Amino acid sequence: MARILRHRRPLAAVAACLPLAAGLTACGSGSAGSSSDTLVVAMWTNPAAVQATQAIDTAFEKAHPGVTIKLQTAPTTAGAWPALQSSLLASKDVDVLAQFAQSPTKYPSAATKIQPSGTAALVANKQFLDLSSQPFMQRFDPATQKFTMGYQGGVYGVTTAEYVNNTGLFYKKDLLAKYGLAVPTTFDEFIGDLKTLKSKGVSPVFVAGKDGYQSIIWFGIYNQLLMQDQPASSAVNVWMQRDQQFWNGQQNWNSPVYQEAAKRYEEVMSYIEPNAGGVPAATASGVWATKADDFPFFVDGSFDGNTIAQANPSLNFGFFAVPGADNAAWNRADLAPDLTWAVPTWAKHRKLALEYLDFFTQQSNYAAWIKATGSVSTEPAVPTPSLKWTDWLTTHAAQGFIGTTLPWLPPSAGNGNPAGGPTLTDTLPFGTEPLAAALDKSASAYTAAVKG
Amino acid sequence: MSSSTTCPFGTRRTRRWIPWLSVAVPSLGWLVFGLYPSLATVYYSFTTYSGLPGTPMTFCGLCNYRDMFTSNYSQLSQAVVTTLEYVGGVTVLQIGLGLGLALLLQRRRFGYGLYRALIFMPQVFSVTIVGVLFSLLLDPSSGPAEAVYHSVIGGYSSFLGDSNLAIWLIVLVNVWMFSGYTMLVYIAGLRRIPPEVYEAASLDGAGAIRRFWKITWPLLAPSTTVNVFLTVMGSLGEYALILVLTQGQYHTQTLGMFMFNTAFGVNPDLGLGSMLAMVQFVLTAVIGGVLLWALRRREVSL
Repeated sequence: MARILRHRRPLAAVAACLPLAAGLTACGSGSAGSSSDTLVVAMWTNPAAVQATQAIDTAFEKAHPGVTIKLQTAPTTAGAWPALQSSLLASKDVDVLAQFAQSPTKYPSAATKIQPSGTAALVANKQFLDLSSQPFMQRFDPATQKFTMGYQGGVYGVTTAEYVNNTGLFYKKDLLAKYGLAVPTTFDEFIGDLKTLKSKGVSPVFVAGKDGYQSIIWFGIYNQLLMQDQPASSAVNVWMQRDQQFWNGQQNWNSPVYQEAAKRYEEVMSYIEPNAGGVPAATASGVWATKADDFPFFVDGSFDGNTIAQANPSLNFGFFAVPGADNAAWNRADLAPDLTWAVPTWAKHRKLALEYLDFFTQQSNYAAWIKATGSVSTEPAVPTPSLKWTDWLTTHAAQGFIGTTLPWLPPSAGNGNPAGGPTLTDTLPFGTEPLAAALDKSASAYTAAVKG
Repeated sequence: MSSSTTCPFGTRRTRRWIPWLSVAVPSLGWLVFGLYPSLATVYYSFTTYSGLPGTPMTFCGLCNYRDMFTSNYSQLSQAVVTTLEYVGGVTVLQIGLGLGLALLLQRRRFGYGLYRALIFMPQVFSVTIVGVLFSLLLDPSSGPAEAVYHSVIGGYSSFLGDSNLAIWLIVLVNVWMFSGYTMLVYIAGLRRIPPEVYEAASLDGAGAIRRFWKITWPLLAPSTTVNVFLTVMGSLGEYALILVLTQGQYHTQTLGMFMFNTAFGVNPDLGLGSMLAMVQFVLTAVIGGVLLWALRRREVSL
């Protein structure tokens, strides 16, 4: 009996291990099987963009029998998107990867000894395919594509979305009409409107302060001031010159243009909803849309236009660029090239990935995608869609300039270093520090970091 | 009866290697998932490395340490101060609340088990769920907390968007999550105190407060050691709850959060992040060591 038991024990152990082994084998074969016909696409969560992309994915699967698209998404808040991206890059398990568009300023001159970081580091280290010779790239304006993902003669991604982020301001048409106000075109007119609205007991400006959306006003105003009197086409030169001057010590965070921008920013911020510092971006657009009788202005990028329209279809609202300067002609939209598709050089399905991008950018698919997302078109043959809130954009987007935000940062400046500019959540009215003082601190930090 | 028949498992031949196999599996796991990442972190801290595939890893000696203690010193010191505030707040409140709940719910009475389970329940929720839940509750534009605050205190609050308040709100969320665990450890400690000791004290005329300070509190020293040590160690490395609630904004950037943002943020810098992990390791080792020494000393002296 004991002998039988002795034999039974190993048998039982083997039997117990079988399901585990089977499970492990299944996992292995599942990965191998799925990797043969599954195209992995990853993008950050913008509900409208994800929905529109899923529709294209379904059409692609239909046109390519046997192919399945696995769309992976994560929100940009709470570090979720960088975490997903890092994980996909580390495991080399992605074929088409969304990136935020870059600019030539992301590649500082060799003299600075600054290494590109983030997406620019991946481009500089040839981690993405050069798409410049792909036939579908001919559908796009080459200058924009070169600006966003160009590096040493190649183009390492295709930028399909462009929004007005910095300078972005939504407004409720009916509320302005109720108080006899027009859409302001200069800074004084804007402040005048805000004063009037406050005197009527209305809270004039709403912003997702918890996630730092007040930066839209700050970056927007100083970019408009830096670009004043300059044609939009000279934006690259203006930014490169700004970066060089910062590096050489000819410009710094407490230079007059930033001090002037700070004064204007603080003036606008004095009219925001008192508890806006705690409002998260995830709920802000919905809250603003549903409170039709309050908050005439809402600081947000045009990427949320369709989300607002969905949250309250009856809301009569519009969108325009914050008038940060005194001359109406200077108050142009600060355009932000946004979602850019890139194909890693090590992607398992490079050919299929390129076919996907070709399919995605075909006129009919792309037109439906930008209509759903409210994006400014980057394909000259596909017009920017006319939606109920895009009247100003339709007429003014073409005069906008492509903006950037921060100057070159010395390599010794770590995350959150004041050398990268003031932390707006620490400054008035969200924190306790006046912005002018924060600018002085940032200027000292920048100088110290460059010397270091 | 042969020895093989009395052995709980294995044959004479297999019994030789079963113990080694038993040790080898966890050892391999520790080498791969414990020692290797730790040693890699030490090495990365001496390099400039973004962590992104294909980007260069250049050995730079003490460059990250030099930069952090010179040009980035203000962020580092602020992160350490925030970490200590957080650890202090969580420890004091969690120990106090856990002990109070244990004293209330230690008895075996009808319904007490349900209360204990309910109080322990937040511990099993994921940090993400808790973070989203409290983000919604504390959203001043659409959450219920603002209405309560406005009607009770008057005025407005940004809650998690208020630099003076945010860190303490996260402390409270942490305490809400984990005070049930502290309570259970204390209940186990309370049940080990012989009732005769209390009876003798009562006969000697000791009141409830005197009994607590002279009997309960000293005899709970081992439980206090466990609770304080685990709470301090757990909260020293906290970043997940902060990441979900504030992303380290509004003066809530602890050392763990600073490390996470640096190593895995939008522009990742794994070299600098690893250096911050080393700082955190030293801080944890020093505080943990001192704490353990002091708490054990107290146990012995009692």
